[in-house]
Formats: sequence, C-alpha cells, structure tokens
Amino acid sequence: MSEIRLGGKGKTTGNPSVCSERDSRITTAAIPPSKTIVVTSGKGGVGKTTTTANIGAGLALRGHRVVVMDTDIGLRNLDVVMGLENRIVYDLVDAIEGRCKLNQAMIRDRHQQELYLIPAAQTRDKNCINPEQLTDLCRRLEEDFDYIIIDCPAGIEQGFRNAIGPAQEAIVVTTPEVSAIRDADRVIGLLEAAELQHPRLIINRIRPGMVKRGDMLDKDDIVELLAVDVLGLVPADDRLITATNQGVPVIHDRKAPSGQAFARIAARIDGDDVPLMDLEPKSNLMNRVRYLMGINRSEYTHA
Amino acid sequence: MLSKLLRAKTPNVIRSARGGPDNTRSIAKNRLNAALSRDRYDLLGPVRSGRRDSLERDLYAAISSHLEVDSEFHELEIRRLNDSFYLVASVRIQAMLPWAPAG
Ligand SMILES: Nc1ncnc2c1ncn2[C@@H]1O[C@H](COP(=O)(O)OP(=O)(O)OP(=O)(O)O)[C@@H](O)[C@H]1O
Ligand SMILES: [Mg+2]
Repeated sequence: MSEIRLGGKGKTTGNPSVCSERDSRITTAAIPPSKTIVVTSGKGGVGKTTTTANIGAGLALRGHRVVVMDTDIGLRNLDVVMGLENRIVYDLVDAIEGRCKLNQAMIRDRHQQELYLIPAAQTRDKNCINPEQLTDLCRRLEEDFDYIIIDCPAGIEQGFRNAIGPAQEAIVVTTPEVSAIRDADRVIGLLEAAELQHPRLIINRIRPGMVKRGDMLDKDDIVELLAVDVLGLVPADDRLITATNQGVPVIHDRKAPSGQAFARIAARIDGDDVPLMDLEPKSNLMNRVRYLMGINRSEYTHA
Repeated sequence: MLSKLLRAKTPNVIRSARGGPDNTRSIAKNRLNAALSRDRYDLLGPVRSGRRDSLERDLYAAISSHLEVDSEFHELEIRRLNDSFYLVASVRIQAMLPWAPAG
C-alpha cells in the first residue's frame, strides 16, 4: 500500500469547502459506529492530549462508557491533564505484560463515573509494546465500553504505529501553522496507507483575530491543502490553560470557548449533525481594548 | 491547462510585490502548497520502490523515441490544483529528429 496521498477527499466530493457533517452521518448509519479512535498529529505539542481528555469527558457527559488511553510511553501526560496523576498504581504496560488485571490499570475519573483512564508507563519506552498487544487489549475493552480514545505520541515511529494499530477511526489534530499542517499531511498519508480511511481534522489554537487580519491560515485554506473533513475548530483559549493547571478538562468550564468547541466535537463524533461554526473575534470595543492591553481571557464569542 | 497550473503556482509574494494581497496567511499557504507537493512527490520515490527513478526512466524512454532530449528532466513533479493532482514534466529538446509520418 502506497503512502502517497492523491487527494483523499477530492475523489469523493470534488469540493473541499463543503462541510462533511452529512457524509459522516450517513456513514454512521450504514455501519456500526467506531469504538476505538486514535488522536494523532505528527507534530508535538499541538493538543492531542488535551483533545483526548476533552473528547473522552465529552462523550462520557453524553452518557457513554468511555476509556481514554495514554500510549505516550515514557512521556505520559494524559493523567495530569485529567488530574488523576496521584491515583496511578498500575499502567498500560503492566496490563499488557500481565503484572495486573486490565481493570486494575483503569482509573476512574474524578468528575464522571463512566470515564476511565489507562495511563502510560513512565519508566519504559515505546518499543516495549507492539500494535498487536494494544489491539488485543482494545478489543477486550470494546466489549464493555462505548468508546476507547487513544492519545498518540508525537512522531511517526513505533509509538505512532502502536497507537493507530487498534483504531477504527482517526482524528488528526493540527494548529494553523505551516509545520503542524505539513506534519499532519504526512500523518494523513500514513493513516490512509494503514487503511484508516477518512481521518477527520481538528484545527486547534485558532486565533480568530489573526485570521481576520489575514495573518493566520483559516479553515478553508487548511481543508484545501489537506483534503480532509473537518471535525472541529478550537480557539486558542486562556481558560484552557487555567483549567489544565487545575487538572480539569476545559469542557467542564461552561464559559470557555474551547470547552464549548470540544463539546460540539464530542457530539459530532457521537453522530450528531452539529454544523461547523466559524470562530469570530469579539468585536466590541471594550474587549478590543482589553485584548490589546493583554487582560482579556479570550478573544472569541463562541466556538 | 498548463497556463492554469502555472498561474496557480505563482507565489503570492510575487503577486503582493505587484500590489496584490500582502499578508502572511497567503505566504504561509503558498509555502505549504509547495512543501506538500514536494513531500508527496518524494514519497512516490526512492524510499519504497525506486518508483520515482523508474517513472523518470520510462518517460525518458518514451519521449526519446520521438525527440532527442536531455537525459535529465528539467522538472518532474506532482502539482496540485484544487482537488486534483497533475504530473508536470518538462524536458529540454536538444534536436528535432526528422519527422516520420505514422504508418
Ligand atoms: N486551544 C488551546 N488554547 C490554549 N492552550 C492550548 C490549547 N490547546 C492546547 N494548549 C496547550 O498546549 C500545550 C500542548 O498541548 P497538549 O499537551 O495537549 O499537546 P500534545 O499534542 O499532546 O503534545 P505532545 O506531542 O507533547 O504529546 C499544553 O500546555 C496545552 O495546555
Ligand atoms: Mg500529548
């Protein structure tokens, strides 16, 4: 199977600016919904872990039984983003190598009964597990859970291959920057080569003010370049940082534009037809003044 | 067709020098366009199967039975226009061979 990308979406719809919500609904109706979803990006630091935590929480808020799994072995972080770092006894590698039962490696979330974290091992490396082992483990989880969301490490090496192994669906996270988009393109090619067709894109850390000034790529530019469907748009948001400081996924902060964006993304994953909303900078004068003085909390009206 | 492709390729930096849109967004977009085509084309090639070399060889063989051309292509790349990809090849003609009508 070749890695080269020859216009993923172009072949099917011929128009990259058409929003894909309807296509995905048809897909969900025709085949059973995917259960195991990998969140990946290529480039590091674009928001995979943040996205995994919030999608997991968002799907649990919708009443599903959810596991979020950190496969970033050696550099675990999903635990701290969810505020569960003090509860870790066993980890993913312990479960795979049989040092504990699978349910002993699952930590219940502080906010939601039906959300569990399987943390990565911190003192091992990516080569200590393989895709088959992770796939076995996910197949077992699929019997008891509605969704398994896998947080993939940065890069395209062993850790990436492990993380995509069990997935039936892929979400690619990028930011509106040249290097992140370039890496996303590479990853989309690799996903398609691995038979994970039609990955969907989340564009994170959008600054609507910069987009409006013509100093940031917008959604349509990115869709045109990458030829994939967009799953959601997430603004750069100070409230996300303060929530993460406290170990709470930002989706629990009702005032946070990024949290609202993640709630919409969770709904789309769950098959709801939620239209994409373009992010608008706040235009009122007081907010502009605050923004220029660096004292506003967010630059946006909605997500 | 070709003129359309060439127009699509004109970087905005140049256009903005002529008074066109002058913002970093379009510069980013043009740079990405170039980088992605290059990446995608590179993936066609040597890493997996030497397909890039063999494409070059086959094209050269086909063309050189009609025309005397340089052995190296001036350009051979995959470009993108909207949703489609195009193979764009150009090679310098050294000398026209005497034209023989078919059959
Ligand atoms: N929308 C956003 N607004 C503000 N900050 C954000 C946003 N998304 C992510 N961040 C911050 O960016 C940093 C990187 O995010 P995160 O850890 O989720 O990325 P990652 O892709 O998992 O990184 P890595 O590749 O290292 O695993 C974090 O400090 C996070 O709080
Ligand atoms: Mg991470």
